[in-house]
Amino acid sequence: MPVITYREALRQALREEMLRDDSVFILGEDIAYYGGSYGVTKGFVDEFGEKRIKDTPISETAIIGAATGAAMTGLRPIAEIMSFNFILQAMDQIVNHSAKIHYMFGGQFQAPMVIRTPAGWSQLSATHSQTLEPLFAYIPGLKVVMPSTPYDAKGLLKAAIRDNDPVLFIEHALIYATKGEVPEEDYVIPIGKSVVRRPGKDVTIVSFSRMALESVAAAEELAKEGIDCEIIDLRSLRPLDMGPVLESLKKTNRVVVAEEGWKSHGIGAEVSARIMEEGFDYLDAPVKRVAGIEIPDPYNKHLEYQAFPHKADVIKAVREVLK
Amino acid sequence: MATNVLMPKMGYDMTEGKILRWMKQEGDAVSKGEPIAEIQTDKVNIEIEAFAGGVLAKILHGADEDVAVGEVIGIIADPGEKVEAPAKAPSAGQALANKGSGLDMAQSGEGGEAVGLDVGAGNGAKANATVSTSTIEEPSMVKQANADAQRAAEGAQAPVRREGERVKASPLARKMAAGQGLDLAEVPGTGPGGRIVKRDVEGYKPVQKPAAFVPTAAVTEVPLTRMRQAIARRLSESKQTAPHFYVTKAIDMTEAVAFRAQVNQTLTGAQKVSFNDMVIKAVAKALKAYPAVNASWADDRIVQHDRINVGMAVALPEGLVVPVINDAYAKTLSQIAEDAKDLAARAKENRLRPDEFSGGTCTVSNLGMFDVESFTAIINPPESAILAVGSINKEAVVINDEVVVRSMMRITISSDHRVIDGALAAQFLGEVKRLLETPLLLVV
Amino acid sequence: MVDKQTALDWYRQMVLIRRFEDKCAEGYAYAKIGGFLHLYNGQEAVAVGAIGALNDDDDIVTHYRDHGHAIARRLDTKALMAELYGKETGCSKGRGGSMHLADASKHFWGGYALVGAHLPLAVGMAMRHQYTGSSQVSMAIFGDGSTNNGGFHESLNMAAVYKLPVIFLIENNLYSMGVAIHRDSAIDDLHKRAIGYGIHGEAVDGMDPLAMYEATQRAAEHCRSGKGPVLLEAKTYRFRGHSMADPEYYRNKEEVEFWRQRDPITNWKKRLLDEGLATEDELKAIDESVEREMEEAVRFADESPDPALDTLCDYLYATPVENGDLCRQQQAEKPEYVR
Repeated sequence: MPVITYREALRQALREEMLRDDSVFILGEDIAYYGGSYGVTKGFVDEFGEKRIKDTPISETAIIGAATGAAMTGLRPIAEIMSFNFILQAMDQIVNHSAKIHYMFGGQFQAPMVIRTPAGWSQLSATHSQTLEPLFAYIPGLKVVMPSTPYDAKGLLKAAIRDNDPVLFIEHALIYATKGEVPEEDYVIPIGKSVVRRPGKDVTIVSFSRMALESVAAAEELAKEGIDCEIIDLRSLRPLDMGPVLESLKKTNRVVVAEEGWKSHGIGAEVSARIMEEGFDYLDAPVKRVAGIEIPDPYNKHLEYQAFPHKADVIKAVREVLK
Repeated sequence: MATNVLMPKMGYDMTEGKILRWMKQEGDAVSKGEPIAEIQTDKVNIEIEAFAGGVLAKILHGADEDVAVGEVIGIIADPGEKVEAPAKAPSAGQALANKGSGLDMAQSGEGGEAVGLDVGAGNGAKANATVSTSTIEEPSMVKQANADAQRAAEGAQAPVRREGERVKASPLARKMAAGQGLDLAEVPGTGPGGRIVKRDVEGYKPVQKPAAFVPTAAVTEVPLTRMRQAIARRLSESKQTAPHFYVTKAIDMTEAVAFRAQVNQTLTGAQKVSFNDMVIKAVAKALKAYPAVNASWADDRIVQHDRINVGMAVALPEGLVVPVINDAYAKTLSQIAEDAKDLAARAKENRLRPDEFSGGTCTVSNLGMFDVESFTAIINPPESAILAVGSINKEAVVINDEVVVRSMMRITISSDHRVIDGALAAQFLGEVKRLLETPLLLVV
Repeated sequence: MVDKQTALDWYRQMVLIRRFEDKCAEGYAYAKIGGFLHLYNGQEAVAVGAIGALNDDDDIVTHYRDHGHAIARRLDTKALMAELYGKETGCSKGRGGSMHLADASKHFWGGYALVGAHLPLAVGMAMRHQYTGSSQVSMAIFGDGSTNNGGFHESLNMAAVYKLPVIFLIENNLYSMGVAIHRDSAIDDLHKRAIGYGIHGEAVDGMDPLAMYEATQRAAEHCRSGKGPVLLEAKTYRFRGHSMADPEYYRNKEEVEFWRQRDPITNWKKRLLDEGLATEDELKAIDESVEREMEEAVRFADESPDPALDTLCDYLYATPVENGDLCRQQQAEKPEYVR
């Protein structure tokens, strides 16, 4: 089976879906001739033309609003928001229109659209380094996915494009270059399903996106000490699939949730609450959350590294939760 | 905390009593309210109950011994508690006052039931019997995740918890402990902050298992039928809740014997009257005359029933059932006879309808057919009285200063002292006696 | 001038809108309509004329003062009133209310509640028409206040850049809620903003359905021929307050009276009579038919049922997700609902 990068997996998904369905098109800032600021759509305009690969003005509101209007009238737009941080400019369109179009008109309309955007950081300073998924995982009517592996990225992006609801597809700049096995044939991963990334019996680590990879690395180190971690990769944040998490909890009785974003009111808070509600009797220790320190991201690389969570944070959390 | 079992004062003029038998052996578990010994006073044999729960740690006076009122005859202690020879007896009143102090360990956490180990009312830090001056130690913090049960056994000591302190345990540990009937307070905790966690419950070996029953020889286990369970539950509850007292009268049944023979010459089939039918009728009429006996305790009031429904205990191979003859007052003797036969027959075939064994207001239990001279019965809740009827035997009796032969039968009424006082019980039973001794009154 | 049939049809529609809005005011006072209610009295000619010029498959998105547009687009007044009453038989199944009237079959893509935010939707619809090579156009109808919102700017710019077939129709009734135009807009003649985007802009008499009709026809033709978007500014006025609880401190009675003289219905009626296109009796018959239609609509709305409580969670997702619906689970945990 071919081993490709996360970025390449995305490209395959986009290209295959565009070939498969004429109503699919991509719009966003610098996605055509620039090839996308992270190179995801490189070469696409040559293959598909300007009609289907649209450079837009720097107008997040109009990008997402137009995508919504086009989706309502029968196309399947994929809007790229250059950086997760910029999505705040389009909050109104996402939250008040795309997420509610189907509901507030009594089911008459639908908005089958995908919004792709990368999280990420690296001395980019405070307004370019945020990861904001809790804001969107909060909204009924939206679907939010955040895959961590090339295999999941391709399968989930295809699912998102074929889905008739607005899907926020969150990538991560620091994992575009990670590699994994990806089948060549067409496949789809259902939205709303978590997966056991690594089976284990001593402790459960719940994570997603970049922190899922950090958790896998942490587990490998901990394995040398005889601590066997089971890792559940959520993949979808809305809907949130707690099934595998609870199954794992029954086995290990101890949970660490690892996310990159800020701790308060984050994804870990929701997972903890669900564990408490649905798995209370299986808890042998409070759920331990690994998250970013609650501060705007600083430019200095040491301060920044300290502010974000990494493998070592996961390892420490596992040790503590096992006490 | 140890509780002394005293020779109780069962009468204003009682000075001493004889221990007839102990119903528990040393080391047996005892529940509060459970009868633990039978004593004999001048007037009557009586069971005495335990006023605390725990283990019968020591028996100080055995069967057949005469003991002065107020003296300690036994000691009930907590499992594992060491007791010396009789401590200076706190009076019964003080032992009662000692309860309820400190932490009610059985209820720590979220209602884990301490099944199989009755720790009774809270008695503060239990381990303190041996550890009165030791300092409180925090179990050492675990460094490595892997030394589970070992750690629990090695590093942990008997849990020292201050009075009133909540036992910290993980939800999982609580659930496991509840499922095993373990008292969490007994379990040392090795989690952070002394929290009891799964490995602690898994590795826990109780210090002393109270031997509820030590099988010394091969046993046959008899599973409980539903009837047996119901009898056990209801009558235990009745005995523990209702303060029973007993009044016995000897009844001259000579006239009744003749009356019955005469009446049964003309009656046929199911209408033939039995002595028990006559007792039931007498009881019904007496209940009419003494409505305060036809009543039930309802916590904040006493409820007197309008209907007079007399229950009739029927022995079955697997236990007993009490069908009810409704409106017994209004029925004639022959009607009662018919009803009684029908109900008894159907009871034996398990064909009673639910409404036929509920709604009783007083019960008659007759062991006369087993040649029982007299016995005391347990009140059938929610009734307030039950009449235990013995056999009819010819006895030598003094009447008008002459010894004559009469047919005598004893009835003992058990009464709920919350509802019925001695005088009332005596009067009521007296009325029953009067009716039976002049049997024509049963048909007017 | 249009033919008699169209002229009378416009009369009826304007009268229908006017009577519908009056009935809404009544319904609101009786608490049958709740929430926000923005009435269109005075602006009827804009909706009737402009929408009258569009094809049945042209797409319309509009703002929250949308009753007039819905009626001009021939949505059933029964379904509209039922929606205002929140009933299951409403055009949006009671989920939307006054500000979210819609009918997919009539390409009426809804009223929207956020100022200026629906313009990008029209841009997207036009994007689709261009993408598929269709000759359909989309129309975004919005108020003067919207032109100061970022959505207006981004939409016009993007539509101009791509040369999309969008008609941007401003209903300039001189007030953004309670703020007069000269206090919140840098210019009063809003159609001149078209210059900033290099597109055609035009002012139209919003009290004259014929003027609206002709301007819209021209605009649609412009769009269909691939020349790009058009900005129309209808100069109009609303006789009632911004919404139901508006005491109108911000304008004086003289001004309102001035504009009442220019009531589109009275003036159209006069014109029809003057030009011999209708008789008093014909117009009176129309008035009566409108009355009957309104009574029918109110009765229908009154008698219709509320949506069943257990339909609360319907229409969350177009593509259902297994275990994806927390709504039903959470609804099951609620205490019993007492009306």
